[in-house]
Formats: sequence, structure tokens, C-alpha cells
Amino acid sequence: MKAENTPFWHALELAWCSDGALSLHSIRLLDAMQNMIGLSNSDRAEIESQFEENVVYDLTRAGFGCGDQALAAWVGTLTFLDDPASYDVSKAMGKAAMLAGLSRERWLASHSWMSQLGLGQPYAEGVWLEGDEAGEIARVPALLVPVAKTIGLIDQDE
Amino acid sequence: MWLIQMLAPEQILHAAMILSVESEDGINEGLISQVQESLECDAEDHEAAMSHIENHRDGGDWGGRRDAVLHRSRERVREAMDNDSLPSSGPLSDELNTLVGEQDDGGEIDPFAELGVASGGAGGSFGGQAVDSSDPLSAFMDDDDEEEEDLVDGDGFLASDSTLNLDGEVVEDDVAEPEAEEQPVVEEVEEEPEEEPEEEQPTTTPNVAYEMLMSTCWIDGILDPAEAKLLARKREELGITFEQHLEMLQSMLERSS
Repeated sequence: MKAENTPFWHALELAWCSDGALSLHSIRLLDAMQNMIGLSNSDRAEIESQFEENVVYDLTRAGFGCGDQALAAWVGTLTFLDDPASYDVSKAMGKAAMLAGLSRERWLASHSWMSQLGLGQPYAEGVWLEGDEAGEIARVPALLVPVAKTIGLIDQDE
Repeated sequence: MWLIQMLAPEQILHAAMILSVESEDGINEGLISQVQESLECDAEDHEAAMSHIENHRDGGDWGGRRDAVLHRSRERVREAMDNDSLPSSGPLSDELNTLVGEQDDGGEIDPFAELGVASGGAGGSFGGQAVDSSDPLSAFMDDDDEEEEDLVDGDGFLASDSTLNLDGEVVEDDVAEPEAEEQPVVEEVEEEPEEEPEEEQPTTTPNVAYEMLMSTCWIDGILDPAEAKLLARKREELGITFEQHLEMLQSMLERSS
């Protein structure tokens, strides 16, 4: 699993990158997210250390961590994981990704991303057409929008 | 076996003539004329190819190698159409497609069949033969390829007694050559298979064959539905679990990265 292809990395980007600062509120949100997705301390430490090296050191502070607004909104979407439909939606998204044309890099990135949310299995089943036929995905849940952009289901600009 | 060399026009004409001669209605000179014109072959090429066919056709048996000869001829015509040596659209193309299709050898190519693996569960059957589960590797011994190697090589049409040289030119057979001179060569060729140790036979397990097929998924950079469907079907047929598939996929991608 590559650190940059994970939801937690995306959360760090939201927290840090709006103004180059991390607020206390963001730290608490990151803690909450870690608990919600069952991320181990060691995995979190690895992701955060890589994020610092690759992103934070190049940032220029221009505020007081206003990224916590966007982060709070996104962490709120983690409730999707409790939705019984999350399995089917993930599977449908896998199928949609494959139908859209999935490169090896996109497969690795998206599977890594979905796996950290515990949705790697249904996503893979959708991509590789395993088991029952996956349905069509009507709307990409907010939680999965970043990975949907990665695999080209949603335009990067949207 | 894949053709990697560009075929000479004479070889393509020769292949088309063989298919036409062996078609239900016999040779279609009108069609062959169009092929000849399209390939810019002259009357001498036509005559030489026809002479070769007459000398080797053996009443359509081709010395017991009819299937291989027709298969290679179809491959050559198809390749010529693919690389635009022959038209890939239009009336001539339609006629050639009919000619090739008329003697088609099975339609869609199953890569597993090419690898010698057929469906039938983990211990299943391979290459059309039932397999003893205690010796699954023996299933992948495919002597068809060897037979064809003997018959055909990448340069000429009939390697062992070809009358086509590297340029696709027909070389007249020396019919009067005494058999005694050829005999030692035949003996040498026949002795080789007996000396080959069994260990040198191709050994492929279903998992390895599946992995080889899987590795072709991204050969064009994109996984497409047909590939995903083929792999899903093969997992079921070979008894490969989805977890095994993901493990093999992961290790394959790690190796290639």
C-alpha cells in the first residue's frame, strides 16, 4: 500500500494544504478518522512521516489551519462505511472503473485506497467481475469522490 | 508460434493459392488474379507457386500434414491483411475472409488452449486429455507444436522439404535426387525425439498458465472487459479462488514494478 494512495493521505492534504498550517481541530479529526477506519498507529505514522517529507516541508504557511473545515466535511462522509449499500456501491464502482479502462497504476492506487476503507474486496470483485454481476453506480458517494477522480470516473476539475 | 517476419508477396500469394485450391469449389483463378495483382506478383510467381502446390499437394493430404499446411496458410493470409499487404476492406477482403473463414480452425483463440490448458477444475483436463491428478504437469506436453516446428519454420512454408527460400521464391525440387542421399538425414531427425529426456517437455501448471494470461491484461496499458471476463471464466474453470487471483496479481505487479 503506497502512503499517497490512501484516504488518510487525502485527509492530511485537506488538513494542511489550504493554508500550509494544521489546526488542533484537524488533529482531532485525523484521530477520529484513524479510529473510524481502524488504521494502526504504525501505519498512520508511516503515512504522516512520508506526507511531511513530501508535502509539508514544501508548504509555506499562510493561515491558521483553515483546512479543518473541508476535513470535517469529508470525515463526516465516513459514515458511508456503516451503510449496508457500501459493499454493492464499491463493487459497482470497481466495475465502472474497469469499463472506463483501468491501467495498472490506477488499479494499484484505487485498490490501495479502497482497501484502507475496508472496501478493497468488493471493489476488486467489481473490477475483476468476480461473483454476482455488479450493478450500475448511480452516484459516487462523497467519501469515494477522490478515488473516483483517480480512476477517471469523475473529472479532476469537478 | 508467432510470425515475426514480414512475409514476402510470393509467400502470401502461395498461401492464398493453397487455400483456394483446397476450398470446396477448387481454385478460384479470378480471386487469385486479384491477389496477385494486389501483391504485384508476376506470372512467374504464380506459375512457381502453382508448381509447388502441384508437387506437394499429394491429393490434398500434403504428406499427412494437411491441417498444419492449411493453418499456416490462413495465418499468412490473415497477417497479410493485417499489415495491409492485402486489402483489409472491400470486395477482395470479403472474398479472402470467406476463403480463410471457410476453413477456419476454431474461431476465437483461447489462450489457455494455446498454452495447453483446458477447463475442468483444478485437477481437470489439459490439451484435450484427461489428466492424472498425480501428474498434472504431463498435461502440458504438447507435441502438436513440435510437429509444426518440423513442418514449418519462420522463413519458408514447408521447412523440412520446403521449396520456398527466404525470399519466398520457389526453388525447384530435385526430383531425381537419389533417396539414398536423403536417408541419413531422415534417420537423424527421427532419432532426436527418442533421445530427448522427458524433463525437457514444457511444464506449466494451471496457476502458472493463469498468471501468464493475467500478465497480458495490461499489455496495452488498459484492462478491458473482455480480458476481465476471460480471466473470471478461467478462474472458475481452473478452480482458482479470487483470493488466489489477487495474490497472484499482487506478486505479478510487484515483480514488474
